[in-house]
Amino acid sequence: MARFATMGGWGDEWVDEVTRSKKNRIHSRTRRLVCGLAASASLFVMLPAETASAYTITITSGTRAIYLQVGRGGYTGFYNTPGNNATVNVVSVAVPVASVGSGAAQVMTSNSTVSQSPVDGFAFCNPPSQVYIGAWSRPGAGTGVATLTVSTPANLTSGSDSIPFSQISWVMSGNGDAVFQFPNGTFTAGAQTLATFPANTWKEQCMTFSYANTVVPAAGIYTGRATYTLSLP
Amino acid sequence: MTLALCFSASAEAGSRFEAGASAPVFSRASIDLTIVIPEFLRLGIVGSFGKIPNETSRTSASETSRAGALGVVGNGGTIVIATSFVASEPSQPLAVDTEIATVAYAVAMP
Repeated sequence: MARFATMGGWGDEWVDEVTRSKKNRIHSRTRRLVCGLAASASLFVMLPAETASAYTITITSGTRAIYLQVGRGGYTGFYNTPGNNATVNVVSVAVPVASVGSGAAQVMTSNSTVSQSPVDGFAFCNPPSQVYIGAWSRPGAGTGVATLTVSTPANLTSGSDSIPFSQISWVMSGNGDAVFQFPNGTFTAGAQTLATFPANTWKEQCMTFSYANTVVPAAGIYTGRATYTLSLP
Repeated sequence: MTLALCFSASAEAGSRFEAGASAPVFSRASIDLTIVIPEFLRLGIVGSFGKIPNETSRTSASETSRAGALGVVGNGGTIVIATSFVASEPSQPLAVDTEIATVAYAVAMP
């Protein structure tokens, strides 16, 4: 669990040594890390928060910062400088002719290729069926709790036709995980809370989406966007 | 004078990193969902027959007629059903406004 760091401001690199002890995933694994958490002026330590088998990483307090990743992310390597990535991944399904409206759920796939956790490079998700979601919050001097929500409109649309977003559900998983950080769910119009982040925690999971296929929509290509928001008051 | 820093992340992103603000911070990331629905048309017999007419759907000695329905489901727009119950008569198109329709039919022995 030892750790040392070179201090710095924007763009400076830190060197961390991290030990994580998640039972199902990493057994007392020690890893040397290079972190370039921008705008931070204090230690950035990742410690295991061994609650059941949940994979929650505790980081030491530091300059106020948050990070959210859905699908492709902005990390440079693992633990390196977090950043932005403009790519919006697509999760899709083409319903077979014989199955339209049959009620047989259709598994959706994505164009995400993210399999490795930015925490440690662990092969956590299984694309294209799974989409990585992860976030961390460091409230700085405060003790604020960050909240992760997802918002969708009422419908996916194809011209004037529509499919309710409630036809799409997700299941959380992750290789080696037994206790999940975010709940399974079904989209509803508006915002839904997925998780809260106590100060200095990092949570991650893999999402598998499915289409319920219980309606008979007009033929077409229906699209809609789900927006995930991590907010720190 | 107070300088307020507001970090309003773009929604057009897969990941967002925000740092350094004393005010509330928001980080947004999105996924796009797409469902492709193909055109299809199904025709099935429903009603009193309940199945494709066969030996068991014959009228009994006391019956002179049977009625049933054709269930039609499609999603490519207005369904047009061409009916031709009697081979000697030409079929006639029947326009149906909805994408799921039931068309009644009957046969009788006068």
